[in-house]
Amino acid sequence: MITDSELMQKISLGNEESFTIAFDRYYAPLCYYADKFIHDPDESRSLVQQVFVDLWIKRNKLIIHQSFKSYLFKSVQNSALDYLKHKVVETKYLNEAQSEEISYDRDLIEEAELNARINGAIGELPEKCREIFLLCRFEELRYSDIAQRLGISVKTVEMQMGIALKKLREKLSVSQSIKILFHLFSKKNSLLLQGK
Amino acid sequence: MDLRLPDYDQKIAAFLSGNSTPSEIEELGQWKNLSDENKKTFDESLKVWENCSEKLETAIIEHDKMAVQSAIINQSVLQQSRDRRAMKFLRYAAIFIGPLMLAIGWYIGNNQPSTKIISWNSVTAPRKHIALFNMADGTEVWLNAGSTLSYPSGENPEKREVKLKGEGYFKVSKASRKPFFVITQNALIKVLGTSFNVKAYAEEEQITTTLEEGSIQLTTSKTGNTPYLLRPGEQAVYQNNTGEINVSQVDATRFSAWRNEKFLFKDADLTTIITELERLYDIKIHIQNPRLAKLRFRGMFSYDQDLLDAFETLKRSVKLNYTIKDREVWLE
Repeated sequence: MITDSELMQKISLGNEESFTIAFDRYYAPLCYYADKFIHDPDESRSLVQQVFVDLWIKRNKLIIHQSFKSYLFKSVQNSALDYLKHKVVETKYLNEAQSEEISYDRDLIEEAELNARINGAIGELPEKCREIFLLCRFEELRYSDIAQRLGISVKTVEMQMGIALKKLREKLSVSQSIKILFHLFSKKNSLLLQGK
Repeated sequence: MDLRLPDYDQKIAAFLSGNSTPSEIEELGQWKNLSDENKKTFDESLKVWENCSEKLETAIIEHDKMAVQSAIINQSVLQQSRDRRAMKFLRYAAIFIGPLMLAIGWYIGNNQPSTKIISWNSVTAPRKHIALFNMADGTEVWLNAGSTLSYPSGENPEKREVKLKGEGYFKVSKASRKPFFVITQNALIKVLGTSFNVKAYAEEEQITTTLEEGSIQLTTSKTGNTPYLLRPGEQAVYQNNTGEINVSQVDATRFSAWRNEKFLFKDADLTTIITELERLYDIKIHIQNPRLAKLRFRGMFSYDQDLLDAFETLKRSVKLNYTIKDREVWLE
């Protein structure tokens, strides 16, 4: 897997493939992140798209001091806050917004990444299972309503929901253990480097 | 594994979604406190449940990716006119849509041999009939009477592509993630899982693309580096000779009505209708009275109607006389 710093370097040299990889890697988590501020999924998407457009347009003038990932999240956060400011001016609720100071929040980033991972995992569920899960989780239909709508038994809905939950949970714990491993690995590496 | 509650995944799911009975909740609570393992399973399930948010479908992400690409290309062109380093920016724009430009280079304008040798098969719908063609990837293509679709004989690992002469309605399968390209004489359409209609008859001066569902990128030979992104319900009419392109909102389903062997027209001028009739019946129609050409009609033809019926239909909406001789018709 190509690392973030390699991606960033290649993008600054105008490599469009790396740009696409960065988009695939960060688009969804960034959308979820933006949405945590502005609570408008469509607006979040167009805001994140603009961040990517700017990234490419300014790629050769780009000086990034922090990591590529922090840069992206920070940029999205800035545009989200700008957006809120404008919106506030528009709707003249200036006071409220000023009192609401939002700081750069690591937990929110992790949460956004988790949202994106779960979203990806939902997409990988078997079709029937996914359909049932989406109806239940997002349309908040009761099991009996889902069974009726899809012409299946309540028992099947129950079973499929169990399967969905199990698969999603497994995905979550796998990605968590990878993260921990990676963390240990990079620690070990940095120790080695220091040892030199 | 706890023996008392072997189907704990179902119990937890039912609990989280509010489908449990009080006794089931009670039971689950006891199960949870039996071991650390159980508690961990429960907590992780809760975490999954709470962190599901507004879903972002793959198709939406792909659509947004195309939007970003289009925006970049447009902004690049803007900058280019501002800071005179025209060629450089143009080159970047071209690199960015590399595969697209390559495809245009290959298929449009010149007939330079490509480095890959692919053999093409083709199907043609017979006159007065619609052909439905199922492709290996699950894509369905309806071909209007007399239209031809060509497709490569082998599978390309990077893309799916077909060539169209005439009119086709495409229902592109989402099963494959490979982009799907429709190549016509003067335009290239890049598609991701979607339904749309393309009308690109060689004898007509325009190419009409109507999007029903999903998203497509339209690149034409004259506006090569600026793909148009169409949204559902939008129709792009491209003029082959001027390179002009007009996008408008339409009732998309009306433009694929021919799939049911019907030709619908609403506020269409006689010239347009005649072109369709000539194609359908393989005849030549002459308008004797120029005033007639400008008249507008509404109505419907069925493909199984015979020629006389068709003219009777026309006669019902406007006063005209027709003379038929061999395969030629004169209207006045």
